[in-house]
Amino acid sequence: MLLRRFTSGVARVAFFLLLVDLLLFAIFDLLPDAAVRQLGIMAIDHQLLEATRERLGVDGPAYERFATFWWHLMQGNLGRSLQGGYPISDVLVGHTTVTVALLVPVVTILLVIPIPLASFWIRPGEVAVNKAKRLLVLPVYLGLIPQFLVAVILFAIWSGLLADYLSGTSLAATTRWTLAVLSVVSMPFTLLFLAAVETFQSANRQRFTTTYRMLGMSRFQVRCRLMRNGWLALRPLAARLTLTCATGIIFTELLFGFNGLGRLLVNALRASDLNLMRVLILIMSLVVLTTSEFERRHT
Amino acid sequence: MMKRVIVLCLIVFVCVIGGVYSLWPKNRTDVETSSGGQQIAIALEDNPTSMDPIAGSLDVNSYPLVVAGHAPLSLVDGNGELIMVIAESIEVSDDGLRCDIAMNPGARFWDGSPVNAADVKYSFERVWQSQHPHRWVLQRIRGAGTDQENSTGLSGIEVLDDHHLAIHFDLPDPDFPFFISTSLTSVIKAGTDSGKEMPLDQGIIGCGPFRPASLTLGDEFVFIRNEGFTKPSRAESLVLRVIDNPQQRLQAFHDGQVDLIRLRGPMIAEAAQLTKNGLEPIRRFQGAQIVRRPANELTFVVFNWKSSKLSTIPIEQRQAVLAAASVAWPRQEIAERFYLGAARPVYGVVPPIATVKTHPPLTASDVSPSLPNSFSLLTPNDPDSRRLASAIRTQLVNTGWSIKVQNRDLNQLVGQLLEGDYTASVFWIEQAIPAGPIPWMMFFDPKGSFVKLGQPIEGVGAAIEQARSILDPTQRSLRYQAVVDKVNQEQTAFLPLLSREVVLMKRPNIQGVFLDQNGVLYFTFLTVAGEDQ
Repeated sequence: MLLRRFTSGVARVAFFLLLVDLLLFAIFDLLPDAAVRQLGIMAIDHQLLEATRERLGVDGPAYERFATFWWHLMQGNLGRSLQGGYPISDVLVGHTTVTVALLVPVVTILLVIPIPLASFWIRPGEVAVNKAKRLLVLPVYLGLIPQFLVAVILFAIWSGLLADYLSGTSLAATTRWTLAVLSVVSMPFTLLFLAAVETFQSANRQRFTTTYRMLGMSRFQVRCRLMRNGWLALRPLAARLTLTCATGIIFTELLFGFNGLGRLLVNALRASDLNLMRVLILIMSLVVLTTSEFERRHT
Repeated sequence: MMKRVIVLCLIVFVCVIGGVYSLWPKNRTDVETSSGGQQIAIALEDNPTSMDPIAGSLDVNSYPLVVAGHAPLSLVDGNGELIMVIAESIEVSDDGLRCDIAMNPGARFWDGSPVNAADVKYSFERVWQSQHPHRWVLQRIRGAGTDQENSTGLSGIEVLDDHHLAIHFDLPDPDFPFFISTSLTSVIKAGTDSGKEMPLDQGIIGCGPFRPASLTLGDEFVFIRNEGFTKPSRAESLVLRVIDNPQQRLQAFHDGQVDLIRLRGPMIAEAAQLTKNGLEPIRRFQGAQIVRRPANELTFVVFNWKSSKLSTIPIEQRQAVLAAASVAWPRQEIAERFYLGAARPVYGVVPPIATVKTHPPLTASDVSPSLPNSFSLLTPNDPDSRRLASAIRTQLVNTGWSIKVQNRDLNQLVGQLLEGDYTASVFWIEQAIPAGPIPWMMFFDPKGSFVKLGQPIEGVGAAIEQARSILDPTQRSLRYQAVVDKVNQEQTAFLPLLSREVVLMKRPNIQGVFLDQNGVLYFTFLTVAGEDQ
């Protein structure tokens, strides 16, 4: 049973990955390719354009290039980037460290703060939040503004106010990194916090909360019990949170100038580096789809 | 409860305002010290794609890597004089049919091996066999033929000994030493281009001022001094950092992360101001130096008369349309307001530094042309081009033109130009070959590589070829000028606007910044002032 479920999950993920890649390939194959991007106006010279396409390996029939990529992928060969001819595996290794350095605090914050905070925000037995509390929670809604805007605001604070002031001090790098982490975490934090508040409120409507209190459990004890339930109830949010973290990483790395996977993806897009773009999108899709499968198995 | 919340919010607000005020930079006007030691750091605007002299010279972002790792035989300075680099001397015979090159015996590749005459021959043959649109610089060498298909190889290159070459031409080519004074004809070690595939083609061994040490995509490209270079630098290393955001480039310069940046478009006014002494850095960059030189650059609007919007205008009215637009566009004002004078108004299809006589301003024609109601103006999606396009739209409203500006990423824009899917587009081109007006005529020679963007004008190619053979320099220039004049009179493809200068900002300890005749930056003489100087 377990094996069947696992196999069908893998098949589903593989199918969607293939679909995503096919769509990406189809869209970008219709647009001007990396040869045009690299040559600029010199692409007007037809012979030169064809020679450059041949040099970059983007000259064959589309189906052949699509199939070759997957054939190499199945052999563990990610290919070479069209921009500079770097082995993509080397490029990924070089850029992952930066992204991980941003993601570790983000994931830690998401695991440690929003749900406990929400559980302490909603008192056991509290069904409706009073006006004052609603007012206090208003700033949290700022986290729902588009992620690129958050990144822009925080980067403006950094470059307009702090960068010059902290220039040359040991605080400069830390402050920049802190603002970058804030930029990534804002949206998933808010989503998680609000969902947790909602979960705890609906839990308070259940009879067992009253029962716990009647049994003489302290508020803290009730909160701890509810928190465990909250973790399980919020699991379906995992894929959405992964996606918001990924988009946050892209905007943040781009604006704050971190040379991680997010910036790499944007650079690949700008350079029409289809090979690199496909690998990065596939990795991102793999993470989101796997998380989604994980949700499916527990809901 | 409500009162407490309001008081709490007020306290937070006051704290934030106080914090911001205390952190606001006060009287910080000096630029930070250099990135230190004998290292020179330069900002790149985008990721490079190759350091191969052929492929790299096609991509403006790869150019710095090419000139860091590779070197040509000679360069042309701002006065039009030949400066020897790998060569010791280059001389053309009186009849223009032979060129003798003596190499510097001390020149070494990165791997320590000497640079030989055979390597020069190999490098030249490689360029000729490529599809590079400027391979015409070698076309007159005996054996080249008219194109690669009937070429028998460059048999005219005679290797006399390890350090001497004689190059024989089929037709006189008195400007040959200038034509080969670019990174395209850099000398590479024979055979290294067919070795193992390496990122950025760094397997192609060169004899430039620096050798590659660590090349990280999207981040920085570190080069170490090539001890065997003919003009050894005091700089131990050269770091090229990719900083695509203009604001971040300025900040990086301020913070001492880079020592030299190019100021493009709006960056000029953000980093410099016009004083009685010329262009000087603003207080934020006090202590920095501005280096500027006219570039072989043309910013223009290209018209597609075959497009549905413009095809209704009769051929005989096209000149009048261009004249009306040209008169309405205040070039001098834009040059001063946008570029603080670091640009020149242009009325002809060749920038002033590539021709002996500037084309006079067009005058409004008596013919009142029938203009299209409205049309789209494509523009590259960079801050400078967007600003220019906006100025074009605003100024040309008075002529009755209704223009809609559409921003496009470069590859999209080029894609549309390739397919002829445009009405008009703002564009700019920089030429790197020190060959006067010849590269610009490739847009108007019916057999030219770039005629698809320009306009075929009968006789242009043949006239340029004839002028190239004239031995007397003055007569040659005059003949070139005659061809340029003919093109300016007949063409209706381009509406020339400006020729923008190359403006660099550097730290004072960075010396030997060499901008060639076309304003192209070379690292050949780049050095960093030490304490002993």
